[in-house]
Amino acid sequence: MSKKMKNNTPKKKKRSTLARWFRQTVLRKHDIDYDNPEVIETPLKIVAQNFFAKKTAVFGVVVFLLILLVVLIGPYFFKLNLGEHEQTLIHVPPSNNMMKIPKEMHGRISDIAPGTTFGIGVDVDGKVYSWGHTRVTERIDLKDIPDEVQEADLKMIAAGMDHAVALDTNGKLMVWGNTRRSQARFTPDMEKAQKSGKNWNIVQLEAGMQVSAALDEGGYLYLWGNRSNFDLGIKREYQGNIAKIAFMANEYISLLKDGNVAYTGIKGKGSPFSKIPDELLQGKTVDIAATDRTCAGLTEDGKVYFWGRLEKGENEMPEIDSKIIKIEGGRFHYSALLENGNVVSWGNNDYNQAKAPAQVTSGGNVKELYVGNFQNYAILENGEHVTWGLSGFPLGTDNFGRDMLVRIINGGRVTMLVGAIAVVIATIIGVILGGLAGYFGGTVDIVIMRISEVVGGLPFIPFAMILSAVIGSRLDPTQRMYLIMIVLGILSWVGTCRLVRAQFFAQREMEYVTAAKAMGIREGAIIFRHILPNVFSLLLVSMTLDFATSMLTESTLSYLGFGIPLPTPTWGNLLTGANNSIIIQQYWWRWVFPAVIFGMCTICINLIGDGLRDAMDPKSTER
Amino acid sequence: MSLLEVRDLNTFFRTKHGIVKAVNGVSYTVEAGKTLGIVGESGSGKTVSAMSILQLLDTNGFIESGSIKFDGRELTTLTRREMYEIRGNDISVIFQEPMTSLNPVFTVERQVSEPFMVHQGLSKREAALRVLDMLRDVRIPNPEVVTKQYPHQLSGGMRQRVMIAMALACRPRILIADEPSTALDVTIQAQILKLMNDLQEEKGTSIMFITHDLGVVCQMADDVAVMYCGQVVEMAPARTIFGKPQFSHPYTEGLLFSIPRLDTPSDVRLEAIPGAVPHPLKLPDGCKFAPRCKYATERCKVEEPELVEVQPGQGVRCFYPDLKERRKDG
Repeated sequence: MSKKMKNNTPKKKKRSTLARWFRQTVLRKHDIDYDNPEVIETPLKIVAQNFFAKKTAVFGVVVFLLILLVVLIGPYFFKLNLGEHEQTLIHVPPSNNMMKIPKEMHGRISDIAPGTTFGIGVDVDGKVYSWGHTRVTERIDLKDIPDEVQEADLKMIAAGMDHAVALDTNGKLMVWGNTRRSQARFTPDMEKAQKSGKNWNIVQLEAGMQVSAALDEGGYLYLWGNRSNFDLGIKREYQGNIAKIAFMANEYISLLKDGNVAYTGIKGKGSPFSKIPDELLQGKTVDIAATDRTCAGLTEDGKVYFWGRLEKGENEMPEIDSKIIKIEGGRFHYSALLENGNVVSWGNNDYNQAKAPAQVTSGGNVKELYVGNFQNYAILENGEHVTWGLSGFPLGTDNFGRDMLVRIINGGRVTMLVGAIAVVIATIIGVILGGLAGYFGGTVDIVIMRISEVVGGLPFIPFAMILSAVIGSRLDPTQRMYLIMIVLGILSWVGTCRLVRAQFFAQREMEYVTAAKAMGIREGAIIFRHILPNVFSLLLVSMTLDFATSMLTESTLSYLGFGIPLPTPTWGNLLTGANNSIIIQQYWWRWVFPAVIFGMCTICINLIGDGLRDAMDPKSTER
Repeated sequence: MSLLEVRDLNTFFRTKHGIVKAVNGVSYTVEAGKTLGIVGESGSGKTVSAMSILQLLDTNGFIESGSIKFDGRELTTLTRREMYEIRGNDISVIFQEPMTSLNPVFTVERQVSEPFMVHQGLSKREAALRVLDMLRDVRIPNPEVVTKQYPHQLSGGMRQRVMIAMALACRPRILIADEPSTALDVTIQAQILKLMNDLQEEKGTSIMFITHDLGVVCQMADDVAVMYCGQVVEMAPARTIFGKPQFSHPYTEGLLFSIPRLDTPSDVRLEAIPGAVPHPLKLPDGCKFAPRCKYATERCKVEEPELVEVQPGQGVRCFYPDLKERRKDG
């Protein structure tokens, strides 16, 4: 039949494209006219037709399938790292602007100070801009650049985790951002030098984790900031002899004027970073850089040597066909500017920060390179800029700096798996017991119904909490997941059992049961092969609705901390944090997104269940 | 020897209000290749006595006493497992309501192939071929189409044919037909009855035909058992009952009078049996039919008559079996 003809033939009933597709592929039923005027319709086909004629049900199916698809396939693309803990990315709101240099600066960049999740830039006119996630606390925001900084003739700027430092041409230091942790408390000799101007010709300004450093041309190093974790001091013997410094997370290393690298902090030999490779002690070191836990030194002959805790691939430097002239460290990666104007990046690539675009790896026209924690900015000869690395989190991050998107996708998988298996367990138990009770009646029925009343009478949440607390404490997270499935399954079969029993009571009086008996068919076969298919439609509805309920119950338990424990994400325990007002108000993305997707999912499942029920109930279609 | 011999069968039901004696000392026989018609009003114990044979009683029903011998084998003492082998294999049943006695979610093929698979251990594919043969046997047009259809797509007559095909699948020795034509309209009824007659001739199956329709019995049965209140009140060859009988039970007489006949003069009113069937828990003493019997005497109300063989082949449970004498006295 041609397509044209098909259109001309009057349709008995208008069907949506999806419904037609479903009919043709799943039910293998085509819109063909039979010679037989009575078109063959199986009960299943009628149900499917009724179901897909309902818009809400189709909507539920589509949205649910989309969520299911994301949740099933997503984890392969958004891999979950249970040990993830990124201090610098805690509570980043949904954003995509961490490397978004303001338009006004385009082509006119004079200096960039990349921070952890933000950047501060100065244009050729000396105007200061900021971008990215600049808010530190409710009150403190690095975006609020002080007027004195804006008006000053800036010589240098630096940005750390939650503060920024600027130095003007008069040698005046200005700090803004979070200053509660001594970020702005200058040491006495700094004050002295600043006042007198002696030993205060600053050539390097650095800012790190709440600490800052300024280096005088004469080799004098000034360090200030939060001393609680940081080895913020310099051994007297090195003072006045320093050419460059690099900040790690809690330490710093120095390049001395004699071309050697030294650990100049107070810890001295006690620091793991004091084991400097011999090659860097030959007086031929020209540059140093540091990541969070590693250091790198560049020698005259262009070789790079690494030391420290090389755990994230920081030393996996690719083959380089040119000479490195400048090396910069991010939090877990390095980027280097080559003599031929190219850039190479290597190290940890969780946020694509070690994957420099082709434009800079082979363009050969990079003029300047700035490296933040996870961000890279390359300024080209023509003044344009290229960025790569972490630009933001679409759904924000949680209190451990973990990407909410990844956790929602992976959490959905766990929640749906737990819900599905719990429903399967509950249905199996419910069908077997309900079938036996309904078919045999009498004593069997009485015994099974009393058992179901006992189970149904157990207070669900307290009981599940006790079970998971008593047994769960000895189990690892995976076993605990299975425990929750089983507990949910074992405690929620009562409804199914009653439903099946009631249906069996009605069905066993039907003549087809007597007929089957008269055919010599055994009782087990009658129950499960003859009666059960007649009850299946109702069972399907109850399974669908139970699936949503199981997911909700799992989430309730997880929210209360008795379900699946952190760090394994589920939609329930993602909401765990949202039990205090600070998170609810300030870090809304931590609960809004999981709640929205979970809500949508359960609503869609319920829509599907209701649609199925209506489709199967011949009376409701007449309404 | 008779193929099926039921002797003094007592089937009772335990209820809240007491024990209901649904079948009370019933005896009848089914001869090989012949049809026994069992006639009676609703609640007279026709179906229960037949279901007792297969032990397909409700959970509160039980066979109190009596013997059911099938081909010389006592059925009442068989185990559950042995009964499975009998049902559908040696003795099959066709039910009254073709609408509901087929499983609504199974295709015809699956329904009919079930006995083949259960009793003959055939594979699905082998069974499917046999199903087509069976459907042809019961004169279903284009069985290839019907075999894929569901019960609700078939008409009542077709469904009953499917039912018959299913019942006859394993070539049973006895077919119990429990009002197989009642739910059908008259033309279909005639077709089904003819089909059953034809099949009986072809396959030599004995039929136990349960009905309340005397016309159907007349057409189908070789022997007739008339039941009332759980008892056989008259047992006779069909020819005797529907001919000009010398002996008859007043109940049979009443039944026969209550159907219109072509030779009945138009001004004669049809005679109805007065009253109603007594409540099964409050059965009268003496003859169970006495309260409704126009010939009843004091003796009938006190003493219960036995089934007496009034002439060879005919038994009547009445003190006054002779029709002419009875009328004269009355």
